[in-house]
Amino acid sequence: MTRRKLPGELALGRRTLLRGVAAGSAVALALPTLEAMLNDNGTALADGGEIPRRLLTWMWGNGCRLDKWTPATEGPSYALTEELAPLASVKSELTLLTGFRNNVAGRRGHHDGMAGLWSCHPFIQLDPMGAPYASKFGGPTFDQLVADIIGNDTYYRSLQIGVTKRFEANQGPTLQTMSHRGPDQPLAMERDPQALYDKLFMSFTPTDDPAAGVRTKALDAVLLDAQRLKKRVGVTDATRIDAHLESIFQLQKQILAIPASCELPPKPDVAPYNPDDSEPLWEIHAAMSELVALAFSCDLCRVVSLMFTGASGGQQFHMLPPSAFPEFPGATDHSLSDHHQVSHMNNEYEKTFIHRSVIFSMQNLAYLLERLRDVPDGDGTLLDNCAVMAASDVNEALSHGWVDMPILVAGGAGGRLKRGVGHYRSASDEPIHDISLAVAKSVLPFPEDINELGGSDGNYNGLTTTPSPAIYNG
Amino acid sequence: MLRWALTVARFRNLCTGVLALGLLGSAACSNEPPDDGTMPFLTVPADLEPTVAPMRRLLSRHYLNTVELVFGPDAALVATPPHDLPLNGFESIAASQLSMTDDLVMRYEQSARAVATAAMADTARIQQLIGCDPADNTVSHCYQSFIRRAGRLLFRRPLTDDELTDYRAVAETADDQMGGFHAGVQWVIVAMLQSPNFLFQVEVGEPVAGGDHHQLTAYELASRMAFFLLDEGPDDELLTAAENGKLDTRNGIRAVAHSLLERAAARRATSSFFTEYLRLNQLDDATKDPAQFPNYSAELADSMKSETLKLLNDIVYDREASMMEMFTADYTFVDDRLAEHYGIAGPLDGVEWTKATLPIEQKRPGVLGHASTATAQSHADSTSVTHRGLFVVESFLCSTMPPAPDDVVTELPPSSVAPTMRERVAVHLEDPACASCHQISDPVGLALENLDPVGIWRDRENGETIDTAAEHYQLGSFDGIVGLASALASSPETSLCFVRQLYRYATGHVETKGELGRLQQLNAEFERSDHRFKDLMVDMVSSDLFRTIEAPSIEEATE
Repeated sequence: MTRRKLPGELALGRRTLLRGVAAGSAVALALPTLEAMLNDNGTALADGGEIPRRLLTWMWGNGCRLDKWTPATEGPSYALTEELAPLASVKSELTLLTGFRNNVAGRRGHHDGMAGLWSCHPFIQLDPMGAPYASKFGGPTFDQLVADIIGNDTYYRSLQIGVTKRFEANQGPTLQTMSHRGPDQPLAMERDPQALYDKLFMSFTPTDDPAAGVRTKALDAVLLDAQRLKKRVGVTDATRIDAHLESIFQLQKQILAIPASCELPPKPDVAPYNPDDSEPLWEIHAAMSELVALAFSCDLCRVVSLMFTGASGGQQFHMLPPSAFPEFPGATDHSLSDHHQVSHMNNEYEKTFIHRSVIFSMQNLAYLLERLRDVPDGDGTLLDNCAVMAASDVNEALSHGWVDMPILVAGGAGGRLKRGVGHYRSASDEPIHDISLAVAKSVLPFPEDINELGGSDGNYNGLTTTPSPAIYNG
Repeated sequence: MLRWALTVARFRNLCTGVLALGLLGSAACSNEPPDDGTMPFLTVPADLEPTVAPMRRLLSRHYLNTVELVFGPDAALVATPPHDLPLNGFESIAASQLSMTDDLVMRYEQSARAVATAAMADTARIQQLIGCDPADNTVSHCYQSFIRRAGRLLFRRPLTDDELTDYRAVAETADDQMGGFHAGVQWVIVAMLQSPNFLFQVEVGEPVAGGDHHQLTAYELASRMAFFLLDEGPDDELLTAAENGKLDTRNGIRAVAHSLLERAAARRATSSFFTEYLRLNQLDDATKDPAQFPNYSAELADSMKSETLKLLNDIVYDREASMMEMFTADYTFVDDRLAEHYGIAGPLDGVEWTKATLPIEQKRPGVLGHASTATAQSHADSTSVTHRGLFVVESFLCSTMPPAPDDVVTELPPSSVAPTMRERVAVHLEDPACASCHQISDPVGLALENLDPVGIWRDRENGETIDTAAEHYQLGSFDGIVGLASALASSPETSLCFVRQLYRYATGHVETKGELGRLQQLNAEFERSDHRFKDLMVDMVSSDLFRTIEAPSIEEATE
């Protein structure tokens, strides 16, 4: 077996060990998949360590059109439907999962789906005394449980990326982000490619920076303040201070990390808005896709969540003006309408508009998967070493349905995810939570480190201990 | 003054101490003569059920304004605190619940370094904060002086000995590694701006007699008042007042509050409240269909926001009029852009804003007649009677609407069939399944239909006269904006809801049932003062509710 060459396209340079000094002793911050450090076959690191696995969760908001999403047949040779057609180029990398049920649903559309997919805990409603509706997650999202295990050796434990800036911001953390370390610790998404670029490539402290020492010294004083404060406050705040302490330690580690020596890619050049105030969703997502591939490839981070469009969000599909619908003469212009608003209309035209927005979303997903497939990693590709879970918060927006959720899983997770399954349709309403658990386990060095996910509250029970056998190769 | 403060402190300790010994019942401390406003706070009223006061992260504007207060405008210019999002309607509620994250900590560190660098450039101000010349004193003495003075302003209380020691260690390390005395000062600033003592409002309180509850310390109360009334941390004057016992009696607090409300910062803070309360931030990303509304722009949206804030500041500060004029005011303020938008004459040359009256045929009093609220609560291409109605009932009546059921279809019939919005949303109020919820919002929204999606007055829609008569289960029957405005202005729910919203905003939590009684008392005072907002703010900060919290349940140390 020979290793593939690095592609000229990404112009990735060699990566070096990120090494730092914390509390006086050297700590490795990242395992390099540097060519020289691979064994002769490229199947593992020279020291016998495994090539790192990565996790990517990806979502689009407000569901699909089930009649145009679900293929008629199962197995590897299923025919792609209209909404899945954009994924043709990566079909062999995908498992399409249909017929799965969200078991924490039934209270509030969109909130249910976010909570069920990404944490498997029922969400917590925050609506006392006549205040506007809001909710937060009932427990940590699985990407963060994974990040606690595989994210500690990289510069960032995880990255949260958003594409649309028109997500629903006024209903609490549940709809704002896909990653939550706990009910009170939503992780904000970076929605500007240039800011993400700076974060990835401009945040390293130069090795000769004379301030590195005093920066960590200043943080030592902050740590002492936090530790003293922790003794004065109630238990809830003490937990919040623990989160603060943890993040200060992380920053100290980052300050002392040696810069990655990836060749610097060009800075993305994408405006946040088009002149007509619409968002260049395709361009932003494409730029973000490049950055995800780079972050994985440079081993700056192994866990990424990416919200393409939001649940119940106000994203607009400017690429779908009335002229794109010649079959509906005189159709209303929805290219600046809130996607969620349109999704609740039941006319054939509006339903077609939503359908076309799903096709557009899948074109974006296909682009991202292609990028991951094009970057060599060890003796395979990044996608071979990734687990990608892509899903939407509801099955169809109109019904806020939760019994047949649209979910795709891609990548090999270093052999832990089954490939070649094609379309698997559950005959028994298997829980979506089993998919989340399978994906979470698949990227761990020791899958037994996570044996259950989720929780329950009354009738809402997302707790699972069974990784979906449809995809899990553990 | 100092002696008085010490006496009070001892007095408090005496009561607690006595209780702890169990020698006397709580009566020993609550058997005080009735408080005429001059009594030191020695007990917590037995009927009060306060709630915990979680650590509250400074809002972006609190951070910026405090940096400006302590280190000057150039330092504030380079500060980059994170952006806030609301929870249950207010950013302060989110700030009381959410934890730090890696991203936030990283961002605060970057901001702290930038602020410290800029702060050092303002040599006169820094020298004043140091208050000591290293040429005449030991370096260590001058660090101590700076740490005490800057720390008191940033942590909003005197520093403890441990804190002094730790920050001196930062100064000495920087002095050693980064080139001298001023480097030490600079890195103390970097460290302090990242401390939870700066980044969070910490309200732990202290025990007082009469129950298990805690009372905010004078410093904590000063901070709570400053962030609420001024949008910034307490300055030297306010901290000194706290130190000197000026916040230890009801009359003392009232006097201090009155003087704070005389400051320019009070108007800024009041604008912040109304911006959140009236959801004016939603104008920041409101998009409108350019084909229908070619004149709509981000600049126009900014003018709309300013109009509303100018009217409210006029009512609250310039005229000290009833808050209910928020609904009924028959005048407003316009700049050129808005004058054109409303179809009236603009300000004279050289004047940016002018007080104005809208044409008599536009019956649009108060903020519900403003383009701001009409625009923020509309879709890109149409009004939304549901959004508008929900905004009104949530903000002014503290009512909520259950979620739409699953399978709901919100498409409305086309305007070719149903020319007016009333006809298009008829199903909301006719189909019982819809009406059970939509009756809460839609009638209110229908009364506002004379304002189009960007707040331009219209009598007709698609050729049909707009009917704005409405019947609402809480507000009775009314017609149009004028009718809705007077229904709201005269509804007892509106007044109490306003008090509740202000309390949520000021304390960062949704009131609990145990607090409602006191809020009703505050509302009674609010009504007696003819709904003057300044009086309400003073009454609120001087009420026992504002300074009493549930004692934090501290976990036993396991170490």
